[in-house]
Amino acid sequence: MSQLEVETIPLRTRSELALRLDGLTKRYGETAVVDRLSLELPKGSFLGLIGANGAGKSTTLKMLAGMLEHDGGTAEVLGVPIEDSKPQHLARIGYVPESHNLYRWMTVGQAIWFCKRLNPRWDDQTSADLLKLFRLEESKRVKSLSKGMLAKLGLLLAISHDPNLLILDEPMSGLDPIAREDFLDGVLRTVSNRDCTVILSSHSIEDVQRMSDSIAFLHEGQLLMHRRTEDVLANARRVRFVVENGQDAPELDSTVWARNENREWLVTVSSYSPLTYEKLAHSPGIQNVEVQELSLEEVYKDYVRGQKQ
Amino acid sequence: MNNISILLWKEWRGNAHLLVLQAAALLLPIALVFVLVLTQSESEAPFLDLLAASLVYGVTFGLFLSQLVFLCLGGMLVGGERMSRTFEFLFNQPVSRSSIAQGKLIFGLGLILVVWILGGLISTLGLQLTDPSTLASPLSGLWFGEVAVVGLLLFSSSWYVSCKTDNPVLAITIGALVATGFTMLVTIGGARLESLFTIGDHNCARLFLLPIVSAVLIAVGVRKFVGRKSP
Repeated sequence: MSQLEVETIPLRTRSELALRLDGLTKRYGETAVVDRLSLELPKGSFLGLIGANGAGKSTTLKMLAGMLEHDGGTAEVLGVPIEDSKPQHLARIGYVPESHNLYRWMTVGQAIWFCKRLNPRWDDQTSADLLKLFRLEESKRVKSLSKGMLAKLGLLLAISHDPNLLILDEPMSGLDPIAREDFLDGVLRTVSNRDCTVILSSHSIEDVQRMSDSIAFLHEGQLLMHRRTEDVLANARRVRFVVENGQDAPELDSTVWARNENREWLVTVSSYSPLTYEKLAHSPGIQNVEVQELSLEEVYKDYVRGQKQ
Repeated sequence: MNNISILLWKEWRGNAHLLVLQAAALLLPIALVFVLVLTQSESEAPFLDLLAASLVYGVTFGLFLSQLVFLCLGGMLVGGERMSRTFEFLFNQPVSRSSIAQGKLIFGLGLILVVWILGGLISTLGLQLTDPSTLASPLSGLWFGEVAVVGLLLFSSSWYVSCKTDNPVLAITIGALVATGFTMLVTIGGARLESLFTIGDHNCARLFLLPIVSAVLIAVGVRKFVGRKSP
């Protein structure tokens, strides 16, 4: 596959969008770590961002959170261009980074008090509920918290002001399964009743799949795909077939990745339909056509392989 | 203003170790000189005279030591947070970068002011305890002011370098060199333009010019800090 394939969810009007990126670019020297990223995200949706280390996820999220300047393109977060972002705008965004860099000398209570005093939208009730849900003790010092508890405190501080956009940048990295489950439950319980758009970046494809309405694959700063989660799984297939000697393999629509060993072909397509099978099965010189369902992880890997090809 | 007071609280609590160091820098030399005077004194000097000498000379050493604390403080206020990456948390709060810089500067400059007022008060107290003619304060008059502005310059230099490099160690090292360079430059320049800066028999070039250099360094550092979008 030589050409980058980017699929997008249907376009919406600007007022319905929480996020609108158009050619967003960030360079460090000559290297573009985020390369002409274009994406639209409706309000109230949950986006899962999947990509390997160095794919540009964190850089993208930091730009959206107003912590990094972009070098090209445009980005609107909650209707405001990121270059015009003001402190009042930041009050509508919650951000939980991978490394929970809270002040270690603070107690949990002091960290809550500090954020509450700085944030006019702070909701005491939400904060108290989350404190209870996460079983956090106000008197405990941040430096004495486990990684899981630290992640929960980070989440509490990021969502107690009822943000319209919640950015979770690999917040569960290094957490044990129980802590991860608690964290995700916290996210779900707190954002499910609100008009809150969530972006979750994670190495755990399983978590992303479970939580997200739509999924985006990033690779080397480029967006490979952005699609509804159920569409990705329902439509992506790997097709296996054997080509007789002297025959060319037919080109399949929406091919993501293809591999040829001897006469056997493996082709991953993003939009499989029974017609694909029919076309293959009735092509001259094609034998043993098999269609295989894929997990999200396999789809992601094939997109990356296809991009490398 | 409300945000500044919260940010000041954070600086106050977050830099508690530097405050302890500052208190020690100011008070330990007084205690040390007192013990020395008490144990080494051969004469039958009155206790109050010994105490006065301890306060006056001890606080002099203390204020010189405090210069090092000011140097560290300037480097740590920005560089320390960059190194511990707590800026990622702070910059995500709905508060402007200029407010954050203001909080840091008010804390740093306030501490310098408090230390010098305390030093002056302790020195004055020492001089009040005895006959001033028997005790010449090494930091009296204009000298006191000159050492104070060098302290301010040390703070400003390391502040400026830390805003530029993000590295507290570099900030402290280069800051000390920058401050020394400016002090030498102003001293030499002041000597050449003696008629312009002399009050009585004292050349006040450092007293006049170093605060201006400090203000410029602080302002350029703030501009750098506010303008850069990176945690």
